[in-house]
Amino acid sequence: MSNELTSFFKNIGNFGYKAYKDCIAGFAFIGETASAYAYAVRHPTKIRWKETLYYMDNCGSDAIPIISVVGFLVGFVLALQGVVQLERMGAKFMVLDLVILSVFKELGPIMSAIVATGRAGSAFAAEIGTMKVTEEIDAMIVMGFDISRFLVVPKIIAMMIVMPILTIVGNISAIIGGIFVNYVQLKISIPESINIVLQVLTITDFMQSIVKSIVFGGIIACVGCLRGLQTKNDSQSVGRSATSAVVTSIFILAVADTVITLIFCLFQRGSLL
Amino acid sequence: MKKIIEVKNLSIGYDDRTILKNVTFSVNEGEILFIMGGSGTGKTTLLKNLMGLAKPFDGKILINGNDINMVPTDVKRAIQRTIGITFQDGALFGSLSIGENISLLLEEYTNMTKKQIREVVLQKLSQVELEEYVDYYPSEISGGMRKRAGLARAMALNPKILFFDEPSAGLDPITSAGLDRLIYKVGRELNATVVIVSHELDSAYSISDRTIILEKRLMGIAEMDKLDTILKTTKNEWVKRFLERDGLSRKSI
Repeated sequence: MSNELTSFFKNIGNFGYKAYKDCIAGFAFIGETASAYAYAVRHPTKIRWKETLYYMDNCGSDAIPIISVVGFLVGFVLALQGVVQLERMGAKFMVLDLVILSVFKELGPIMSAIVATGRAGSAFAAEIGTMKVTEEIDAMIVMGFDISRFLVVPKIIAMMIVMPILTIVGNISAIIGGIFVNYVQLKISIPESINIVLQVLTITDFMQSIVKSIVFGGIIACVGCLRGLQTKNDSQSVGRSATSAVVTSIFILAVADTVITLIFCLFQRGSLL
Repeated sequence: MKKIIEVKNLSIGYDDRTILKNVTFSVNEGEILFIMGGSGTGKTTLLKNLMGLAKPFDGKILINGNDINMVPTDVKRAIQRTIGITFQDGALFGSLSIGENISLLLEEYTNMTKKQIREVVLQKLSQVELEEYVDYYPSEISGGMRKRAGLARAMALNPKILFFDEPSAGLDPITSAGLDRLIYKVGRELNATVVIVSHELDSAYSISDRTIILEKRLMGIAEMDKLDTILKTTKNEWVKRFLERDGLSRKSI
């Protein structure tokens, strides 16, 4: 067998083994976190609320400006593109309907989640990774502290609370972008546009946005913390963990988005596709 | 004398690489044991195994008769709570003040009121002469202070076992001597069994009851006795060179 072929199979083997180890570590982490989360639900006074509020402030209120701007621009661009395409079918006055449904069902939660991954997910990985390098994690373990309860649960709770709020802010900003295009290009008045929003938006669409954002918040926090805890004892590894947290989160967010969308389709239409 | 820590036929290392093989020793109640040796001999790895942070390849570590690698997690955590640890740089939690670093343990493991906790925190900090820094954050104090604050945190629950990883590393001789005095005083006050991993011969001469010297070539213990006795009786050439700083003097240069 040639060297190239041997090396090819070796690389496949290494990749498979790494993926297997990653899965085992992921399942172990999910198990520990679920147990710590259940404990937190049973004993709410034991939750580290000071840290939870700190992360809510840090990952929530500080992200509102960027989410608002990105949301507005997405809504604006979507409406601009929509007008051109819908005009060909003589349906340009439905452009706001397009923005509302796209944003509430898909774009809003995923857009907010990607921004939050870049801000919070990487920050969680870097923070826990640095604690690992400075032996703070070792100190916690030896003191008998449950790492999941102390470090992971406050971040998950914070993200699961702030993500729906950020998503709603992003969604509203996107609709404002759509209303702006409606007003400038189609000369539809603002009260009339608001009326369209109220007619088109259903509770199910709204709930879809909220459910997705809560799940996404949990995913971002879990992946950030997992990658942080997997950091090795050197500073380069902290950077790698932060990058890996973002990449892994985005992949899992896409998978989770698909699954939730299919579930909503099943409930709304009675079939998956 | 009661044996608090017993290490039996221990083999340890990283990944697949063995660093120490068949190591056996014990530490008595109230004893101060130094673990010394050259770089890469496995001192810190041994300490991590004693703390329960790493699993040995083979052998047993008994703390008060309990094998820390065989007991259930909750029992292991309970054992770990009887141990106070100071890491190289203190390993204080950066997001908490010095006082909060100490009170965290008391909040978790005792039923003390906030007022009582504050009193204990100030008392522990006064033992390491840091009471005025109670509200400072670790990043706002010096390396030596961080180590002393780490010692105060290690003492929070009045542990019966204290582990130190390179307590004098990076400190000037006066601060280092002060820290040695403090470790000795605290160890005696708590009647604690103290294990110190260090390169500092002066510290070992000053406060150790016994010293273990690890040698890379042997992958194990080269000598184990009082440091004076080792110096007088050792036939191990490497240990002689280690204790005499390889015969280095101004003249020899």
